[in-house]
Amino acid sequence: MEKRNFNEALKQRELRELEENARRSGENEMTLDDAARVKILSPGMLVFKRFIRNKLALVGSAILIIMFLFAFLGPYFYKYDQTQVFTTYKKLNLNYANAKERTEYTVYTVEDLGISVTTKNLFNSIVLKMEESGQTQYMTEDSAKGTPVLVEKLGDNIYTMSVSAQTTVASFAMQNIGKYNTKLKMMTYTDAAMDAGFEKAVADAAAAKLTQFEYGGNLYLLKNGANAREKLVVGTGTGNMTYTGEALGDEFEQQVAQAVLAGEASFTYADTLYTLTAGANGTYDISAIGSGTKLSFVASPFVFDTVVAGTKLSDAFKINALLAVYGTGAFTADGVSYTTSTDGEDIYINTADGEAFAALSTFVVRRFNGEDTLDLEFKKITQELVAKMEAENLSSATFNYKVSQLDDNGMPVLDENGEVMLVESELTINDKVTDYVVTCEQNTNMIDRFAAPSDEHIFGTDGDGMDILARMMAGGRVSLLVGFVVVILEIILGIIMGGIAGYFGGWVDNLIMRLVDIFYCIPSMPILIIIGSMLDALRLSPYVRLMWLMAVLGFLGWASIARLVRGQILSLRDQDFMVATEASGLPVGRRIFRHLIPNVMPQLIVTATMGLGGVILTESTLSFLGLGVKHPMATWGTMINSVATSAYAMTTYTYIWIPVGLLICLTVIAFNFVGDGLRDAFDPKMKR
Amino acid sequence: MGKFILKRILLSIVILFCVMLIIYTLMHSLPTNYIDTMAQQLAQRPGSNKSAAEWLADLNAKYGMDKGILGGFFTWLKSAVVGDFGESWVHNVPPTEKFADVIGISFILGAVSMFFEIIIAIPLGILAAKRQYGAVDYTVTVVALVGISMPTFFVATLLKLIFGVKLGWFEITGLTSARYYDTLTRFGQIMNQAWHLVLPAITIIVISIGGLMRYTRTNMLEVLNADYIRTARAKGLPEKKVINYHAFRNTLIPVVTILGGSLPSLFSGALITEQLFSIPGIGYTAYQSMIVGDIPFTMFYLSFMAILTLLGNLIMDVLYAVVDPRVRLS
Repeated sequence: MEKRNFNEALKQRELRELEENARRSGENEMTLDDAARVKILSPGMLVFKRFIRNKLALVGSAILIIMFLFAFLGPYFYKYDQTQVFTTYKKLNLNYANAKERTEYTVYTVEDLGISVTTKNLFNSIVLKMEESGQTQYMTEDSAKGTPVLVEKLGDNIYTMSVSAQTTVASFAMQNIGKYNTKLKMMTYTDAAMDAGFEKAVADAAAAKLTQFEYGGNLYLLKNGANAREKLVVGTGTGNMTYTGEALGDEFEQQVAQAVLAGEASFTYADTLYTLTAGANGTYDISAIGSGTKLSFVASPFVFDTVVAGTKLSDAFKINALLAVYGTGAFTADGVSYTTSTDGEDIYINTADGEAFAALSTFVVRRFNGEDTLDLEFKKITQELVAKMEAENLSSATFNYKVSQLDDNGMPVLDENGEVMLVESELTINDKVTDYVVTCEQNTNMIDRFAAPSDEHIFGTDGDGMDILARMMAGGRVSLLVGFVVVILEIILGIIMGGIAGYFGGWVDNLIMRLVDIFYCIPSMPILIIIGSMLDALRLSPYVRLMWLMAVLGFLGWASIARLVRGQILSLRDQDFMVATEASGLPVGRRIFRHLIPNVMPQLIVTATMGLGGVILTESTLSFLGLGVKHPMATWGTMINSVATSAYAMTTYTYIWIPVGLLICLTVIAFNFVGDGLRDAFDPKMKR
Repeated sequence: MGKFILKRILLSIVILFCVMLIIYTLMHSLPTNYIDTMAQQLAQRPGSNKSAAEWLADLNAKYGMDKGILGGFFTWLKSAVVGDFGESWVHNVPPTEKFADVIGISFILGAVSMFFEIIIAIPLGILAAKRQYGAVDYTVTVVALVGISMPTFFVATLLKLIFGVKLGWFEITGLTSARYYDTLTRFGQIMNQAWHLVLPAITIIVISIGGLMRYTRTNMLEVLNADYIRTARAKGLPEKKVINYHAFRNTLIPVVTILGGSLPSLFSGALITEQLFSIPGIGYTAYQSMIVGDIPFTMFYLSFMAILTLLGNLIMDVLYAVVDPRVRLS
């Protein structure tokens, strides 16, 4: 027989009635005995309702929510990264050009005739020697091969070096007439004796300490002999000269004699350079340097300033131009013909149709990087000003000129047609002893340090050119994370220690409580400072440091939580519900963690919330002292530390440290407000 | 009563022993190369009178750094108990001597700050409790919480900016005006020092006033909720008398206890504040020693701090027992 379940039947009838009631309730007034009239709130809901009635707690919660969104979600929506370094274009007085009077000679090779490098390098010193003595021609020998080399001055600042072609015109032998003893006043002849008149002339010359005298139309020389008393009498004259070609006359011979007497290696006679090459026994070969001379090098300190700045000139052009300046005045280079002209001061090179092409100058003006991109007018102005500075003994002078500038975005300034435009700027010439430097204010790309707040960087940038707002977000994340990790560590340690102490009581409780007393006594800030400076010395990476910091903070902070948990558990342990758990035979772990701890939770949550603020304060203080989180990781403390340690930075960069400091304050205040509100909500007994 | 105090003292000594052991263990576990490097650096400072090797030898002799933790600890304890902490590496004198030089200024700073804290915080706390949820209460609560929430360095920097730089009323660092301090009379010198202590004192007051204010308020609220207050009101006492005689006196019990407990901390100096304002007190001196690994002074300072904390707890316990007979009985 089928059993009838009366219970089921009753339940179903009740349900039907309820449904009917529900249908009717829309139409009918609520009755006094209606169960739905009394709204029952869960304990959690009660706490929540009490919490949201507290205005300060609400403000705190709002701040916290905003802070969390700011720190954790903000970076995803913000355009900059915390370690991104920004650069900017700023007006900076830059070295624009330098100017210098050029004295060293540049040697251009016309044709390589095998003159050794050593000799080529002597060019400058030879030129100096020639300028001192005023010679226009100078003979020397190639140091390596001994071939005669001729250095010739073409005109001011232009010199040539050639391999000379020489023809021997004569050989000259000195005739040793005899010795004259100044003490005995006596002549000893080598060959035939001369007459008494000659001897008198010798004696007169010796007495007058002359080195040469004339007798009978011939020139005689008196040379120092073997000792002080002895003079060698040397005769020159027709008989001593052997010409290879035609005779060159008495005057030539006298020149030769004088050159020999002076010990010179070369002399000029009738526009021809002759060289003397000494042979054995007082014989000399005399050679004429003539038409066969071959040009090898041209040297000049001149630089070519082309009218069109930056035109590249070939060496052939320069050589031909230098040779033409004091010569024909016209030359052809690279298939184009040019003429040279001078206005007395400057030398110009003109094109065939008379337009100025370049100027020769020993005053060099170049861009500071060495490029020759300045135009002629700039160079002229500079030269004039430098001359004026030297004349008036000034150390600097200014002038205006159009120079290329960069705009604020680092692009060249363009006119409306998109062409590069030159901007009128003020330039300054400074005397730098060795040369002159022209400076000009220009936009320069540099790290945007300590930028004031702007549209681009709402809070400006810091000392490394990083965006403050981005670092505020990153710093907030670190600070909040440190706070949470440390508080969670503290709570775990505190619950374990406090739970054990409170539940078991007796000697375990005593032991743990003494441990808590000990930890209360440890001065935590000094310990943190010592550990911070030790971590500094060990040069750990910022991330490892952060871990250490959190571990130490957590380890030093559990004592108060353990004490709180223990106190709560002691008061709960003897309550009826705990007796019930014991009676129903629950295991110890379950009794502690399922029944005791949840009842301690309200106090724990309050303490943790307040503790979060405290940990954030400790962390930022340590970071401010430079012993906490390190660069390049941003935290609020470090950000303030970087600008608020010196009086100057503190007063100048208020836009950096005040907002960051307010962030710290706001966060900690919010945690305290919320903690306060939670305590009042959990424990309404405190309210009157 | 005597037995109770004796018991607490003995317990304190045991705790002190353990704290010192922990501190010593920490110092002992500092990496050797860190100590070596610091000794080298300090020996090269101008005015240092010993070489690094001499210092390390001293350290080993007095601090037993070359022995095991326990052996070393007792070596150190033996000399520390008689006040011999070796010679400070930074200051070149025994820590106790340096301590005697600098403790005065720390005490003055602490005492002045505490005095102002008390005369501001306690009346405000009581006022807030009397008008709970009134405008005064909200203001006091907010001000107290803001004070607690401000980092010391931020308050100090703000004060420096406003009163030191913008208004120019105070100098922002140091205890004396370096330029003309020596030309002042004795009285002028004292005034000059007091003038330099104004900003640090304000900093300390701003930071710590909130706690005392909230503590007073909470206790006052508890007292006002008590039955004897209701009785007092019920028997028709004027509200003034209820607050000033019945409630206030009972509020004072925990407040005086906690203030008594913080008396020893007057000597502990304000580590961060002194450092920020370069006030040469015990906190500043200790900070300078700690960041360069001057072990003798650091050990002295840590031991000193531990003793102060224990002393504070002891005073608090005893005061509790004195004012509240129930504690004595349990």
